[in-house]
Amino acid sequence: MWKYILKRLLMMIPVLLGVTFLVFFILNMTPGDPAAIILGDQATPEAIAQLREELGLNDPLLIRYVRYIIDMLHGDFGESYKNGISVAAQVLDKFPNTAVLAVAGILVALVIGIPVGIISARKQYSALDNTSMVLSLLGVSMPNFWLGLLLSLLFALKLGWFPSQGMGSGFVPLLRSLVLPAITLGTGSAATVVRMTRSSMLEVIRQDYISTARAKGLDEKVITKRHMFRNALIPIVTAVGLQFGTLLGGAMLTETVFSWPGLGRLMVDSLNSKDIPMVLGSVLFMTIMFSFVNLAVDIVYAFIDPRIKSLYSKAGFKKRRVVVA
Amino acid sequence: MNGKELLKIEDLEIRYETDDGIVYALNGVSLHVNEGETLGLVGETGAGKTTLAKGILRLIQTPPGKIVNGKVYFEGKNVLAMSDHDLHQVRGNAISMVFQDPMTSLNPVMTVGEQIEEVIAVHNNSLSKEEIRERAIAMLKRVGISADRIDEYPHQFSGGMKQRVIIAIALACNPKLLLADEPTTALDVTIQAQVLDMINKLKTEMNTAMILISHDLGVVAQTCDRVAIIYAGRIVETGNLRDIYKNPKHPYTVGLLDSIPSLTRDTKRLKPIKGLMPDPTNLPSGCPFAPRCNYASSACSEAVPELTDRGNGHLVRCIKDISGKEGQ
Amino acid sequence: MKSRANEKNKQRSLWVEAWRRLRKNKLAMAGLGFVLLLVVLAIFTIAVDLITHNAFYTEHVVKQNLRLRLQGPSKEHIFGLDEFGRDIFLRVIWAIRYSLFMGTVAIGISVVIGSLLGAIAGFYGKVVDNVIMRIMDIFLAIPSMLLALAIVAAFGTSLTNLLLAIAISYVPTFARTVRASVLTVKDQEYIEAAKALGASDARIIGKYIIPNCLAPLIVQASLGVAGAILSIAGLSFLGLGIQPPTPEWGSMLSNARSYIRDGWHITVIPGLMIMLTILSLNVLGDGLRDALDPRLKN
Repeated sequence: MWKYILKRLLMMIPVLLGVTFLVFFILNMTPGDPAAIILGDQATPEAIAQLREELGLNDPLLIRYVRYIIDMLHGDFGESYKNGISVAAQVLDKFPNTAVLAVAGILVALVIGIPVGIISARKQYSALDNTSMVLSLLGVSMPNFWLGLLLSLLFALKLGWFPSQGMGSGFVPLLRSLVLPAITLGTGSAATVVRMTRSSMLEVIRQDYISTARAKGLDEKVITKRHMFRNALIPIVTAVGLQFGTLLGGAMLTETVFSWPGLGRLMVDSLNSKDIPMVLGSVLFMTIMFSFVNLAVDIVYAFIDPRIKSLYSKAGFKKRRVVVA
Repeated sequence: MNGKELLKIEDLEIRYETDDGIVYALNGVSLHVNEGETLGLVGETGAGKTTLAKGILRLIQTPPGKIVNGKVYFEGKNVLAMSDHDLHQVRGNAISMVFQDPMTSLNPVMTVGEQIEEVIAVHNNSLSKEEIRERAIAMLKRVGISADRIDEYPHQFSGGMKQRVIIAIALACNPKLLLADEPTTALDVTIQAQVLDMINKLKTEMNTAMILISHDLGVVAQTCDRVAIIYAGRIVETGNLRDIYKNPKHPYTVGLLDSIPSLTRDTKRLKPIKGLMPDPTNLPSGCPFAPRCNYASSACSEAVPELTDRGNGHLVRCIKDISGKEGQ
Repeated sequence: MKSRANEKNKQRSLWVEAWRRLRKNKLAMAGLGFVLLLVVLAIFTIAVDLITHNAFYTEHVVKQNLRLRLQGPSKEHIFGLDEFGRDIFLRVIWAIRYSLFMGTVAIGISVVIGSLLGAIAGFYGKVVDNVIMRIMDIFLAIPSMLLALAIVAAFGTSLTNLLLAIAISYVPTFARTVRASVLTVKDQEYIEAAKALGASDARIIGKYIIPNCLAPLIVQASLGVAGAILSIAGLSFLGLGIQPPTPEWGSMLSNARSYIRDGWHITVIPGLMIMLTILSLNVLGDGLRDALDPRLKN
């Protein structure tokens, strides 16, 4: 098992190197001179030239990339052009807020998505199934920022149940301020999880081993839980892992709608002020997070599906012993 | 043969309602099985063999399947009218089933041990975890698998080994009746005989009755006491093994026997039955075998013939008497 | 010769059969109907702009009329007026082209690039496959919204850049789809047979491989257009896509945010248009999948 995890970790390295190069390359295509941006309108050409030299902007792209990677490995993502504060510090400052929102969003998706998907599959073509299918179709089709606006219009501005802006401090205010953003962020994923759970349950229901389980005299609840769900889980886990990427993208929009002080907002603000090191740092940070979630998904696979596990553990290579009766 | 009647099926009718029409899978099947005996159920693919076995345990998927009519008495109680609770007591405990394809009949994410223990646990509430495991190990040994493989997963076993595990699950609670749906069809020929011998040995030891579903008349001849031939969802002939093989009365049975190669009989070439089984969504009104039958006359397509007794419990669904004649 | 004609017929009847199945799917047909309605409306607005030399556009779609701002739906303005007193119905209709056509063009570009890369990777295998797919892995490792955002940020918020950003972020999806179908087709025995008979690579690709990739590609593409429209709207909502006063659903919502208390219609209507469009494309995509590959249907 450890071997498998190590192998997956090693496989991440070239991908992340590629990602940093790609993002670094794209963002360095930005028109406009960073030195000029930092120094503002009043700067003399000499001052700009001097800063360019100091920032190493005159070196070839590849050298700057290598320098960036080396700094990055030391935890140094550079400084913001806007306020000179270290990018790493700012990203780490905002990261917990986004993490809270993302986890809440995933929870919404799982808590709604999995039970509804299971019930839908068990009662295929029932009124309940049809309703949940229509709602989940609406869910996947709804832009989440629009849902956020509607929710805040209704529950914050009209009914006043929850705040429409910002993040509360203290446990209860935090929870109250989290409700609408979490629903906003999680609804689309919930709908995807419902659809995925339903179709993968329907696939499993038809399998022969479900007939075997029935022939054993197990009752339907046990069969659903022990036999169907565990097998249906593999594609569901994949879907949830992929949803996390969508969720990170969605977090920028949700954070904008609810003025949630997270990484997404930080990134959008940096984009608008052309603060390239900030953008670079936050995109990389989110991508690294996404990669770790994908790694976690792969590890979870191995726990759910013994066929994958044995590919990487010794037991799988054990010779088959033949026993003749 | 020995003992009293264990299972009695009366007039079982099962249909599947699909987009392409209603499939008339079983059209009034009546059968019985006595304690300890083996009944061979023989027919072509699509004749309704698996539907019959699944119907006995109410394992038909609904929808699309539907048990329209009939009764299945097991030890005097109608399985089809039981509460779910009583049904769960019967399944896996008094009647158990071995499915056709061992590759797909085991849950891939549970160890074989867990899958054997599960059936023991659900029917023996009083046993402790250790006792259940002991029993599972004992069962595994009985089907010829060493005890140290109990914590392995199905994908680590070969097809024949998987089928042994499935048989262990089926026999773990000492059932009175085993429904074996082509238990060896999916296996290599060399493994087939091993597995079949083992089933036979175990069922005799445990005094379990069995319905052996097969399309292989050779297998049936080796193992069965009585035989029922099924065609287009109806039993067309049933009787003792000897009566069916030596003195077949239904043209379909005759055809089946003629189409197997034999080393002892001196025949120049095999005589396959011409034509195909009728479309089960659109069965003819008369005898469903009439279009393929060498003896058919216009009377055959008027109504489905009744099963008639030709003596010694030998029932035949044919209006003609063809014994002794060679059909050309 | 005759057998080849038969094969052609068989292939054609496959599509005819799929179309017959699709027509039976009422939901998918409703989706198709709505998409076609949008296409007609978009063409109509483009025609109006061409004929009036943008006079109508400037006068009714962009021109502000602050006296009437935020007026609710009425007989003259069925969707009401926005925060600058512009007719929301007209703006919503004029915005179709940005979402629908840009989404389609973006996906079109990525379908071409993606399937080319996927086909090359799948067909030639080995090193080529490895290099292409590892590069695709890098693109896939970045959440697509972030990638699009970075591209727009770097090159500026023009229509072309937006298009490019979205096209690039979808390339890996199509490359994977096509590669997967190429790999399944490549090992089929009839390909072996064709090779044994001396068919050229080009012939095998054109005659066997492309037709087999088409079905999954069409399904992916219809769902991809839905995703692209969402991305365009999302980026515009963040102020990184289409800029005001050009009407675009996402940027209309972005403006509405500041006036959310003053009138529900300015928030509800543009969002509803996005949702209906995505919904139509999604049901159409689901319907196409069921029609093209009935085995997948539950």
